[in-house]
Amino acid sequence: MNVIQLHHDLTRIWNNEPGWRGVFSSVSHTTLGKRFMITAAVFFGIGGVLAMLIRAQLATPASAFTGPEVYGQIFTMHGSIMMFLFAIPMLEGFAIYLLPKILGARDLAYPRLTALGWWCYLFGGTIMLLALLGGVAPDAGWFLYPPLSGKEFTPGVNSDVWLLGITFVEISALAAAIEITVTILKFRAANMSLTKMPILAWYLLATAGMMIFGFPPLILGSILLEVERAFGWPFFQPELGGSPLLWQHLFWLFGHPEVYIIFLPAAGALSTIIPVMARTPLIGYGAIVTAVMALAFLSFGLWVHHMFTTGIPHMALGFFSAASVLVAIPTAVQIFAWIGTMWAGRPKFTLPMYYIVGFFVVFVLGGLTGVMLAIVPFDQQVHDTAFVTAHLHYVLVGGFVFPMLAAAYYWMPHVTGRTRVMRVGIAAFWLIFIGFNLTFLQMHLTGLLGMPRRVYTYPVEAGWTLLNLTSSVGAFMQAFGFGLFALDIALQRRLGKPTRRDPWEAETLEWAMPTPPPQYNFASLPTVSSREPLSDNRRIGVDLAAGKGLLGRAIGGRRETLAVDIVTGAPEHVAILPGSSLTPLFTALVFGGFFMSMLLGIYWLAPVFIVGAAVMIWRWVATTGTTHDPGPVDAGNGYYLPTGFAIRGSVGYWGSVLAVAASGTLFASLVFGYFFLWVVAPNWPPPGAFGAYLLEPIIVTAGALLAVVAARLGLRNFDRSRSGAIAAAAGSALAIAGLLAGAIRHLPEPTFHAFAATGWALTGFAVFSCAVGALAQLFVHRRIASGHVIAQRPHELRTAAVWSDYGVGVAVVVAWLLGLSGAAL
Amino acid sequence: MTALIKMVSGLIAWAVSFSVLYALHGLGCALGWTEQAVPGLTQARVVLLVTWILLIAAHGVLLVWLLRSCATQMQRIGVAIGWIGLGATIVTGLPILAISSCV
Amino acid sequence: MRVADLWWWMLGGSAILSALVFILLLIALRRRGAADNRQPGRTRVWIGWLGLVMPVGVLMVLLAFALWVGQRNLPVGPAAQTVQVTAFNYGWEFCYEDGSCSQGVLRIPAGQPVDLDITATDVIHSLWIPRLAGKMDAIPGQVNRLRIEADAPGTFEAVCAEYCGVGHADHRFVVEAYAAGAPAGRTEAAE
Repeated sequence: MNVIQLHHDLTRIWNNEPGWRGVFSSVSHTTLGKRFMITAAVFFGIGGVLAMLIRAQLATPASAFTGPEVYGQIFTMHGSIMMFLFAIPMLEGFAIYLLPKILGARDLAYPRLTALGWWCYLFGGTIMLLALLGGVAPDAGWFLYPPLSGKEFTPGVNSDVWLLGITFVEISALAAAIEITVTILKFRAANMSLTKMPILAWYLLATAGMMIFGFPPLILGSILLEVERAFGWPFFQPELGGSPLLWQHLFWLFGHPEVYIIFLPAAGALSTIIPVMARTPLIGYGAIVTAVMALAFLSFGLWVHHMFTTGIPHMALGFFSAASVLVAIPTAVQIFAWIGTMWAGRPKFTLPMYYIVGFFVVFVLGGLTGVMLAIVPFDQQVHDTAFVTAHLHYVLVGGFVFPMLAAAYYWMPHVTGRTRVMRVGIAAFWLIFIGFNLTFLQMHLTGLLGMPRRVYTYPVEAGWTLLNLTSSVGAFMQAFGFGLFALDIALQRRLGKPTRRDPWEAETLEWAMPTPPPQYNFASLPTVSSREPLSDNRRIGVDLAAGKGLLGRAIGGRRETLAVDIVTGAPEHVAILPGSSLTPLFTALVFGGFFMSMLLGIYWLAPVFIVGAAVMIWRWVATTGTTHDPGPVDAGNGYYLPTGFAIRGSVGYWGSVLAVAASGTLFASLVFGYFFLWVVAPNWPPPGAFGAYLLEPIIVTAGALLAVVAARLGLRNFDRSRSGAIAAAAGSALAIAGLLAGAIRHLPEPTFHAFAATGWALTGFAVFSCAVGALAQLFVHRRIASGHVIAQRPHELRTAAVWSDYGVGVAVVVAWLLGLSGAAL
Repeated sequence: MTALIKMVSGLIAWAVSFSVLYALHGLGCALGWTEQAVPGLTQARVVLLVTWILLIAAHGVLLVWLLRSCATQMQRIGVAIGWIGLGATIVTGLPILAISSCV
Repeated sequence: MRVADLWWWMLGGSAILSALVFILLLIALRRRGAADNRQPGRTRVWIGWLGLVMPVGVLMVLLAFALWVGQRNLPVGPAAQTVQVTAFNYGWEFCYEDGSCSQGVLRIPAGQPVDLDITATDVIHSLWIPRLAGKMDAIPGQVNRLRIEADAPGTFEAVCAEYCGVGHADHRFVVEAYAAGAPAGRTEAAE
């Protein structure tokens, strides 16, 4: 029967390659999502062991367990691992595994990028771990404040490990963010309009959007600090016109949204699980979408509340205090919507519900202490004390770990196809819940009694002994609880009974597939008419498996999935996805070579790897597309759709737009840094006189105009597109020449003053952006010659124009900014 | 995409307003706008007050534009977000009324 | 002290709000009621009143109170004296208006507002005298002003609150408040 044949063919097309090769070449979101989550869980274990070392040291006063040098590494690595190597990758893995399944798609928008992200995460995390084992781990706190983290006070490699290792991991976070956004916007079930999406998709859309705008400031800060350490450009050195506060602004401009980036996916899991457990729809879908959007935006207006004691005028603190108070309101909306949902329904007290109740208790307390910390005079009292340690663990463990434990039990039958065997999970819950509160509840009091953070010891007469000892007892209790949880999951994986499809009677599409899921998710793709496709049609899983949905076909060995209109969800085109590939691994290795050469101080080697990265990315992009378009295909159910090659707004185009948005945020942060130093830092203006210069900015503007106009001419008339691409690349090159000439002729040495350092940094960023734009135009020129880009397949032209327009746009801003600055200095 | 951006336009406007007020405050204090412009009000506070009122007015205009279409759920969410943006700009600007400008 | 009042009010408010949430949660889990969510009125109560109106009301009052308290603690108006404070790895130096300096001990007159002009020479530190005032960071290249006032003569412990390296845990000093009229016996502190 041809349904069996369909499954065989789809399995052949979508499965990973057999054997070891498959380990390295897999691009499957199911495989990689699980890998992300398992790797993150391992890092959670390592971070947890470090936490136990902290608690062992602090259990008694004047403990001789570790000295301050080792303790500095332990608490720095505990924070860094939990934030960057556990929480962020865990939520990425959660989204990567689940997103296509809840949206009714077969994979994410850029499967190879998923793989690249995982390799970058693995390599960056490994660098951090090796440093820990070698005793040269970062030791200036997870926030890495200069000047302490600078060359003078941390002469060793410790800070470089953090700056390079974490930036490496951030690449994977940005890749995941772009991928998640485009997937939600384009890869959904037929007729799934934005407001018919499962609520989790809204949460993940907000999260990914926040990552696109939240991570670039930190990446910029890390680059600047690494350049200062490696080459002596004084961005953060006050005696040369820098300011340590610039780092704090950039760090927390990322750091506060980060908290909500971690919380929102977990809240999305709660909004998904609670209605299923309460056997009733979530109340206030629209209100929750509104609240999530409000959280996503407002959380960018809170960062200065980490800096209430840095001497910023009180009125400015007031702005941030007000925003910090406001952000509690959308959180309250969600809390009451969840309780209201349970009130309306008949809750089943299953194992996930234990953890959900644990979430409510822990997170509500953490949220209330959070409001207290938003209050300036109170924060100035408890800032940097154990009170804040207690608060942040209540928020992050309550707001992320408890919901994720609930999610783990809820989705385990999906991942493994098995149900839980024993009641170990309940014992684990009580150990974690009681242990957690025993660790952190009285830590509020320890802080109020004056115990600062990050001290490796404290005197007996301070009176904190009993409080610390009980905290340590609670911490070890938690550790046993998490160990028991891991055991429970392993048992379920090995010994659980096979479960039926949709064991929780849920309403979302991930349960309309066999469990464990096949690599292609759905044999044919669903069409939806409401937010609860499974209650509209209880047999939807069977129907889809029988090939009655869309694209129930296996033609030409291509990986196909459906792309829809962003807003309405009307079927738009058939996206053809790349299969298994070693390119992501090799690209990550080249990136790794760059980071290692920077870390080991072999600076002459770093540019070789930059060229290597450009070559890898060129080859990566060159393997997409086609020279022979099959034309509109029969997608089933009466839909004849074009393929993604013949679409103006392909997924590649949208990904480029988002990447440019992220890059633009980094650029905006750099411009902010320039003005911040100018206005706020001491020792400005720099010694000497600087005049304005106009010639080079005019050259740059001319190059930019050439690039923009040439790209437009090519887009308007395909016959001119080849020469247009060459002219656009030439325009970018002219802009690069103008930028370099301006900097070389008019800027002092970058080590001379922060003005010169930021000027060179701006120039370097603009040159890099123009070079990317020029390469994009040269690439599209080659693609026209090779027949990949023709008048009917123009989207690479549009994509290249995005990159080159952006590059020369940055160049014009930088050229005039620097050209005119001299007059004001 | 336009519909999505329109939906969150109220909050985008808040983000712009917040940045403008914060930047203007930093600039004013750095340039020393602490002379009395009007009796009881420093120059920095006058500039901030005027800007704040203009920004609130801009939120109002945006809200009126959003209120013209309420047919789809996304448009209704957009209206709610328009109100949130307006409220957030008012609340986050409240310190202008009561707090010393540059201490 | 006003910050202490603020704390007790916030603690009380938080206790009431968390009790409200937990009781509602408990009832929601226990009542196993009929699925009555289809009534639109329910959503209005949960999201409109409990989720929106109640927090807005509570938080606006709190914000106004907090801004007022913060404003009162600002160093505006005259101070009895200004002390130059310099933090470094690992010590504290205090220089007074008469040109004398001391290390490890800060002497101030009791019952009078004193301004500390705080800076650092190497890395970022944070000055914290828990019983007298909130923190103020000591940042290289900038001077931050903090106003403190000891109600009565006595000795107050002070610590560094911002992580400043291996000696952070022992980076402490002592404040000695003397009776304002008494002769200020300024001996160099043994450090």
